[in-house]
Amino acid sequence: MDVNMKMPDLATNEGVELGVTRWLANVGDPVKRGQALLEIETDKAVQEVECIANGTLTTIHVQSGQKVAVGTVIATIKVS
Amino acid sequence: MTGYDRKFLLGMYERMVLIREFEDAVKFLFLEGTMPGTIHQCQGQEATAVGVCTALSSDDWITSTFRGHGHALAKGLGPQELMDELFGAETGCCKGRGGSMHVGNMSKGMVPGIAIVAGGIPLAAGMALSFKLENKPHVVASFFGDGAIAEGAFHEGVNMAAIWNLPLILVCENNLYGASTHVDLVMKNSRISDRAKSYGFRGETVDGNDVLAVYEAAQKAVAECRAGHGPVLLELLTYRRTGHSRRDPCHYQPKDEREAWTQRDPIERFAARIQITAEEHELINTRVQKTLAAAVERAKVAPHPSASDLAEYVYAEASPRPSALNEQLNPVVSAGGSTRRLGIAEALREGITEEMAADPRVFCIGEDIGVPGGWGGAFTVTLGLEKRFPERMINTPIAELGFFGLATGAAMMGMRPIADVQYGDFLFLASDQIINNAAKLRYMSGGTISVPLVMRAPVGATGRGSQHAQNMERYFTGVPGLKVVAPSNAYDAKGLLKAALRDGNPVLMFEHKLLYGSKGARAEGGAVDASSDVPLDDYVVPIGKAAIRREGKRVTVLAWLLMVHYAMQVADELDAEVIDVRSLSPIDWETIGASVRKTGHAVIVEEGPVTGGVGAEIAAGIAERWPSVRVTRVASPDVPVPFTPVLENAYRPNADRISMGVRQILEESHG
Ligand SMILES: Cc1ncc(C[n+]2csc(CCOP(=O)(O)OP(=O)(O)O)c2C)c(N)n1
Ligand SMILES: [Mg+2]
Repeated sequence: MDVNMKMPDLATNEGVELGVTRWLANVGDPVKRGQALLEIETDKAVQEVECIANGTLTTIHVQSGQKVAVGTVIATIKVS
Repeated sequence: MTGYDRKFLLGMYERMVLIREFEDAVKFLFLEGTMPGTIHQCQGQEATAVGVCTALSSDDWITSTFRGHGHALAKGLGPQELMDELFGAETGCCKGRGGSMHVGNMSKGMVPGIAIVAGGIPLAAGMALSFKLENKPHVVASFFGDGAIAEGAFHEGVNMAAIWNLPLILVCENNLYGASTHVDLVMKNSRISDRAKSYGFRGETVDGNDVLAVYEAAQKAVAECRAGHGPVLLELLTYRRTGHSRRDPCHYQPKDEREAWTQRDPIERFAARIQITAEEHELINTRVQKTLAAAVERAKVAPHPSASDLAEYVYAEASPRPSALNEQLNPVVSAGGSTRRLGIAEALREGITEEMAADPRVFCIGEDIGVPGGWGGAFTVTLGLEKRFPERMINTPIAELGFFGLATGAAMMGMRPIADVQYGDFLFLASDQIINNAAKLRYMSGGTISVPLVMRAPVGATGRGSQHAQNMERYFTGVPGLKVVAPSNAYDAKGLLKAALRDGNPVLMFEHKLLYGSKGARAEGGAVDASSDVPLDDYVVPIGKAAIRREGKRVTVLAWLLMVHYAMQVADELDAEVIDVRSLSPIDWETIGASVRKTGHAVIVEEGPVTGGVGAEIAAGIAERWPSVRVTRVASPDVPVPFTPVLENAYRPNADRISMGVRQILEESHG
């Protein structure tokens, strides 16, 4: 089963876009729920975002350097 | 592991796993953007909730905070009712009216979380007081954070719990931070359990990440409380492994500190300590995951309240004490039956005495109200009652926030407290408990709590300067969940007090110092006779009804308390219809409407600054409903109440100013 992970609503202000600064795992890596999966930049700070499922990271939809709206799918995890 | 049944240990383990997994599931729902609102989570603190609640029995109680999911699951609330509440569903434990910060379920012994830091402590002490007064064996465990220690509510609630040996376990979850602030920045002595000694009871610091240590400490505390040796303060050292609230990345928690506490994770430690087998772990984990997955799926499609139900659960409807009393709307004397002439202080005293005699749940709580040889409160209303009801005249420390909280907690448990302040001005100190707790608990609990609390407060400018003089009505009339009355004579005072005691909602009664008819040392200069012929028979004056004091044709004068008497002095010469508004919340628009439609003119008379007063509300209400009616106000100027008599007299509206106001409005509309 595929689980889509969305850009979390971590901004302080409504409607701002959040930037991916760095992925902390590569496509194909096994990932665990709760592990730091990527780093994002909000309007307040740079912070880590935790992976929401156990499985394999199959797709990264938003590359580092890109900014997207809250709710945009950023990664797909194949759950075993 | 000696002494413990395997099943018991696995039960505690499963509870902690359930809390952790519930919180993680919720966290990821937030990350997904599926869940509304905000959350305060407790990953890392599971052992405090489970250790304490395991030591309680099902009819013991807890109070909680904004961080209450773990407490709820530990006290026996189901993950489904909790998840539904977080989604704002009608099927949630508070019918979606509470939300994450206010989860609770009265049928399971958990008061909805109190999200005002330390606000649950006086409430819990009041619940414990009710158990003591009613000889019930229950105890209350009140959860709060390290941040609560600096609040006045902690000090006031804890002090009263101490002086009355209440069955209250004060559970401080010391997770080293209040929001982003480390305890060392806000406490000189950060050993919180030390505080207990200064209040005269036992405190203990416990490893809050060791569920058995917490359980054993709580068990001991429960036994002490049941034996009448409460309260006990438990400081549980723990650590929050997640943000303070949902957007908090925890940058203030140093990495090495986080890692050190990760090594002390309460669930992993307990698993190692009880040497959990792979099979046991698998079984529990699968069960928890299945339960939570099902709860999330159902919560996502659970029915939401309909927008038309917005105003439901604000007030309790059913009268908690069925009574077959005479209800009289606008009596001068009772129909038949004999009467005596009584002043307001005497009439109130008589009403309180009768109610206390009739109903063992009624008690008085306040300052200087129960001291033999004392004053009977600031204005003699409770004089001598301690002789007849020594156990039910609760004489408090000078701690308005605290004892209004205690009264609210006791009312919530079914008692009928009468709480009074010596001067209305002190209600500002009590207002957190009155407005945030007493008035809102019914709503936040989805209509499952009633707070039949009667509050009394003397008001009015009487030669005491600015801080013993304000007319406080304005500050409490716009509070949903609260009723407000203001009697101008002895008949109404007694009748409204009785109605308030039977109402089932918090009712605040304002009394005017110049109208009490207090005698002897407590007599007031400039007092006005507000005595009435008070029936010997039982009667109530219904809340929500105004009274027409004089019928007239040309103008309607609306007043309450002292101003009714001043308006009456000029009513004849003006042919004014004088309405004693008397119930300020709710307002009797029916009686007011009938009069202003007849006269076409309304003059509202208020003691207190003109801006933002109750008069403004009445004026707006008339203008909206009957736009052709001319409305004006006679009130005090926008200044604090002065001391010097010449200024005080200029401040307080009097008969001349009322007369002038009336003539002006009549001239304007005729000229
Ligand atoms: C009276 C009051 N002041 C401020 C807040 C805002 N606030 C919410 S939680 C919190 C920190 C509370 O810290 P603590 O009591 O240690 O509890 P913890 O969050 O650590 O569980 C603050 C300041 C509040 N809810 N109530
Ligand atoms: Mg804290």
